[in-house]
Amino acid sequence: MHFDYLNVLVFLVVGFLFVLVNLAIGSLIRPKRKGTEGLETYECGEETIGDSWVQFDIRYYTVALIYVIFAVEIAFLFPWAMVLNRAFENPEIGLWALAKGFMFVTILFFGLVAVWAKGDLDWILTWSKEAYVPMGKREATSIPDLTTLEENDGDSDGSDPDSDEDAA
Amino acid sequence: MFALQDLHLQGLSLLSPELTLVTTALVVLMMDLIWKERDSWRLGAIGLVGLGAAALQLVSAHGTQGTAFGLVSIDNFGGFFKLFTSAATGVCIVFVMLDRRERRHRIGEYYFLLLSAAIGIFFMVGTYNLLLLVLGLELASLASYSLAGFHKGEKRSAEAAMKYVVFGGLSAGVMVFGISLLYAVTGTLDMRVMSGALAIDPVGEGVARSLAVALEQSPGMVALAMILILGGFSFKISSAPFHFWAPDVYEGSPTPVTTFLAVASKAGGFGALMRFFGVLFVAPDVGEMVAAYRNEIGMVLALVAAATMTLGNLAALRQTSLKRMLAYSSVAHAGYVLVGVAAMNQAGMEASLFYLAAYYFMNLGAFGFLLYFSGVTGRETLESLRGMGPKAPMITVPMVIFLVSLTGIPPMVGFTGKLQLLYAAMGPAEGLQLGWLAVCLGLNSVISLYYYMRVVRVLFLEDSDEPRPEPQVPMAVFLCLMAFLTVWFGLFFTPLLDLARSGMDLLT
Repeated sequence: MHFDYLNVLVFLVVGFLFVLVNLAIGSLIRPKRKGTEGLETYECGEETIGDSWVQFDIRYYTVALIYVIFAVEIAFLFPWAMVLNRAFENPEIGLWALAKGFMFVTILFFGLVAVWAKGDLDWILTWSKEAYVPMGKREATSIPDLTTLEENDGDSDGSDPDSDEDAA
Repeated sequence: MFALQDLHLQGLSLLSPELTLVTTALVVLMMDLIWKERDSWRLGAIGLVGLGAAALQLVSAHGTQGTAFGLVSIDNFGGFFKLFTSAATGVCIVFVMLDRRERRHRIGEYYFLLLSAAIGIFFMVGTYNLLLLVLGLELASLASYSLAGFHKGEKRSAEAAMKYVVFGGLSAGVMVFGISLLYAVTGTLDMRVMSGALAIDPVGEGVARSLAVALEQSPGMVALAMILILGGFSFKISSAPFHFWAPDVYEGSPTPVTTFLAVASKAGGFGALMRFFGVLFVAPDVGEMVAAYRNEIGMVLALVAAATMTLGNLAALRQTSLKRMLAYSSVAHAGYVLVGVAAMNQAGMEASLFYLAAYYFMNLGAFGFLLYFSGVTGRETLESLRGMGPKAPMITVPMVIFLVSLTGIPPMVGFTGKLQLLYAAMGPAEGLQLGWLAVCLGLNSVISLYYYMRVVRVLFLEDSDEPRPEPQVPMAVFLCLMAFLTVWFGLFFTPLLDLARSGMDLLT
């Protein structure tokens, strides 16, 4: 039974050889010119500006996160769509499978609605003391500095007349 | 013709508590968008109604046995932990509603995440399938990570979330690796197939071997898998050597979240751990080989329990922050509960369930007290409590009862729980000697007396000219209720004992 894995070994050996042989051939026949451009980072033909260890805007992460959610959704929908055809050979299973797919998409759709309504899709965010400003009425203001941010995120209930109703 | 549809409907009806919670969570999220409010109580009320409905369904399904879709098992054991989780989550939601500092924007997400974590725990404790267990654990963990960092712009909260994510990710990886090894040697993910209780894997295909066979063929792999899986559970219940995250995360998180982590999340971890070790090793018809292996696992668990309670208690001695002290105390209590699991028999597991039930009342009460005082004084140090005892008796007298109960002094429920655990340690599974663990448990209770009573001393025997704290009627009512139950169940513990007994149907 150990020979079952012989093809894996062959695959590994061929894989290593493929890389090594090609590199060896390349180093034998290519022209040997050493210039400064050749040693620079390749960035799609553009000249590089600074190094890559810079702080990215936090908003990239939000967008990336939202993207990942829907990328994963697609990853789940593909196998579902593939077996749906076969599932409809028995209409009962087919209908259930269809309904379940829709349930899944609906729940994710709620997520999109929430993200949208909370303004996470807006590139220019506004901070305010209110929970969130409705979409149409939002003004694009300059991004506040850190101190005002902390004030807004900290204990901001002082001005709220309703805040004491539970604390009888 | 309608057989398949019936099967689906039956599965869905078995899952009705989970479906109720999912619906509630989505409704909370959507109503938050519609109402756009900063005040927390309307959304909180929806969450409470949903949790109450789920709890009612759980109570009415008590005694039902069944499997939904081959993955989710409905039994009293899962029911116990689900009921525990919904009750604890409900209290956390009440805490959020009472805590003025929590009423900030994104309050809807607060409830949504709490409910999501509860759903994760529901699936974690209600399945024999290791894959679904990991999924539930991850859902609970992901929601908890974001909850730990919920005070945006506050460095301590961000630090707590960061530490929690790193430790959680690591331990989840360790656990999944252990599960993959177990899958490699048994060919199944279902614990019942591993234990031999089921001949055919309900969802898998191919040849499955039982754990007994796997132990014979590759004992090294099984041992490694067990240690790695125990590591994953250790993180969730914050037992040594994976307890390091607990004090920092508990201290930095918002207090309602700390409560959730210390009570609901920890109990969920215990539920999954007890189901795993219970089904694999403690069930009555395990073979000779597995029984011998069970004793080794029991010894490992006993060592972990002893280390956890000792480390937790010793570290709690020197804390000046009440929140951090309660965090270490919660680590120590994980050690206590593990004593019952380490006994590796039915009586031991019942004792663990009973202690968890007791822990619910006294710990929720202690955290409620913390929430109230950090709310009125803005500080969490013991120093800020100086002389507060006579100034707010409706709040501080219940706290004394909780502390006495946490120490394990009669007539509180904590004493009854510890007594059960001592019995469990004195009469463990055949061939297991845990007398030393009983001694360790007793000594640890003495150590814990010092730091619990220090709070009482600061409250009542010291004096300061701090003003009388502003009263908060709902919190006082809640604390008095919890204190009453702590005493009541300490004196009349039969209902809790029956609940724990009926919860151990997993082993029959």
